[in-house]
Amino acid sequence: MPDIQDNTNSGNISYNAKHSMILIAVPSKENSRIAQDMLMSYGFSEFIFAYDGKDAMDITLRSEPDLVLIDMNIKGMNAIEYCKSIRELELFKSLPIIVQTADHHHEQRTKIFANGATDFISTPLEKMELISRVKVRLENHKLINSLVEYQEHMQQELTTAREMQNLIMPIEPDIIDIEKNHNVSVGSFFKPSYEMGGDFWGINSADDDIVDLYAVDFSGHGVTAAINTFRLHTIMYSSISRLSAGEYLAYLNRKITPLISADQFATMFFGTIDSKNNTLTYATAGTTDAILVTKNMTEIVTLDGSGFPIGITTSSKYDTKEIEFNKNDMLILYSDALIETRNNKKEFFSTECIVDFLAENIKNSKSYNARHAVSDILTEFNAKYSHNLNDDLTLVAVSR
Amino acid sequence: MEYSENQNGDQYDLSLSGKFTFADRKFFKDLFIKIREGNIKHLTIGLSEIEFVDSAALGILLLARDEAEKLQINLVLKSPKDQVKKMFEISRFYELFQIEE
Repeated sequence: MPDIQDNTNSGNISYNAKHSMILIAVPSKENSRIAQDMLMSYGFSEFIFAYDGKDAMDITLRSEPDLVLIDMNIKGMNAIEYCKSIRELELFKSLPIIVQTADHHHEQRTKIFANGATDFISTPLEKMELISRVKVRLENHKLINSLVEYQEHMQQELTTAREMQNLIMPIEPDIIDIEKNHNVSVGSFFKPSYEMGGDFWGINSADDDIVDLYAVDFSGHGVTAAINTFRLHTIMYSSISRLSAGEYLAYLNRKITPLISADQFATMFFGTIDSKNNTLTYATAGTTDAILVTKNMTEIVTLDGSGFPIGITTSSKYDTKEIEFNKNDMLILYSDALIETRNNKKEFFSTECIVDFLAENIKNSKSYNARHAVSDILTEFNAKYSHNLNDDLTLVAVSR
Repeated sequence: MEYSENQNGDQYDLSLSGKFTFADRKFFKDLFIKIREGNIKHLTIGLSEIEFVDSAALGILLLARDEAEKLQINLVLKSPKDQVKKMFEISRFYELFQIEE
């Protein structure tokens, strides 16, 4: 007796179809014997039988067969009714059901599929056709189940990883603390494009007058980029001495470069707001131009974000720049996704557009702060651009 | 991304066009296999027809720079325009690569 070839050996999916339990539900014992003999000749050995539709239903529920071969016109409950009822149950959503019929009309077959049959086969049965269809349907079913299980497992892993990644970013209570203690407003938004992202940001205070703000965007997306965010974050939080912004980026760059491959790098803004001296000192590593709202919110300028991205070469140097940052001034950082996503007219939400948009909103508002800015920019972005977004999006603002 | 190529002795010229993104990693991987076997000493990558590069594309160019250094190949990037030029300026690529107009 020839054995069934197991062709499904890929990865950890290993499966022998001949141990599958097949329910044969056809009106006469003679016909069910014909189907059974054909399948047995190929090595299938486990069968159960039903001679009317209601029996088929009961047996399916009780014995949970791996595949059902059912005759279109079986008594009690025909194959279409059987399919309809069985598909309503979650457990049998993907159970392979092959309907046998002598009816060659196109409409009839369409109706069989529409009601949940997996496949159909013409009667009188032809041995090789029956074996092929049964085999293919069993293998597909098994593969799909394995993939679903694998996907569920990966999904869980990624959810855990994403929760870990969220932990390296500020949470609302911390942000509120900083707002209270430093008399600032902090608005923020972060959304990874895939399960995990290459963006992260942070806000810290060293003492009463000092608030550090940074935003990082690793090249690429997904798990690789996310792992790099953890690496950099670890380096950032294991350094203790207080350096200038430029020295700090140079330090991070020296540390991260040997750890990541040549095609990986991060763009970064690091700034320190000093509320005693009313200054912002900052350094940039090939990032977007930050937006600065100044002169009592009457003027909006951009801060050049150029510089060597970190992680490319250990020798990169970074300038520390210092500007005034007075009461009512606001700093806005954003990842390139914000300005590189097109709307339906193929236009970008460019930095210039954001500046104009902000100017208009500030003009029409009495007291405008960082939370308003982030919320307004995001609303505008979501309304017009976000459906084309395929990168991580970070938007952070701080106002005094 | 589309490309055309031309080899003349140990000089290999590549002209790229369209959007240069993460999707083009495989192309460059294959390119370097070809270059390793091809006894090439000079590689020029023409960018004048490239309209857009993303951060992954910059990463691919950095990888090319790394490979070229290892293989002692002289790598030249040629004629970046518009958004590409802007990205190169922001990321200081003019100091990392030999870039010709």
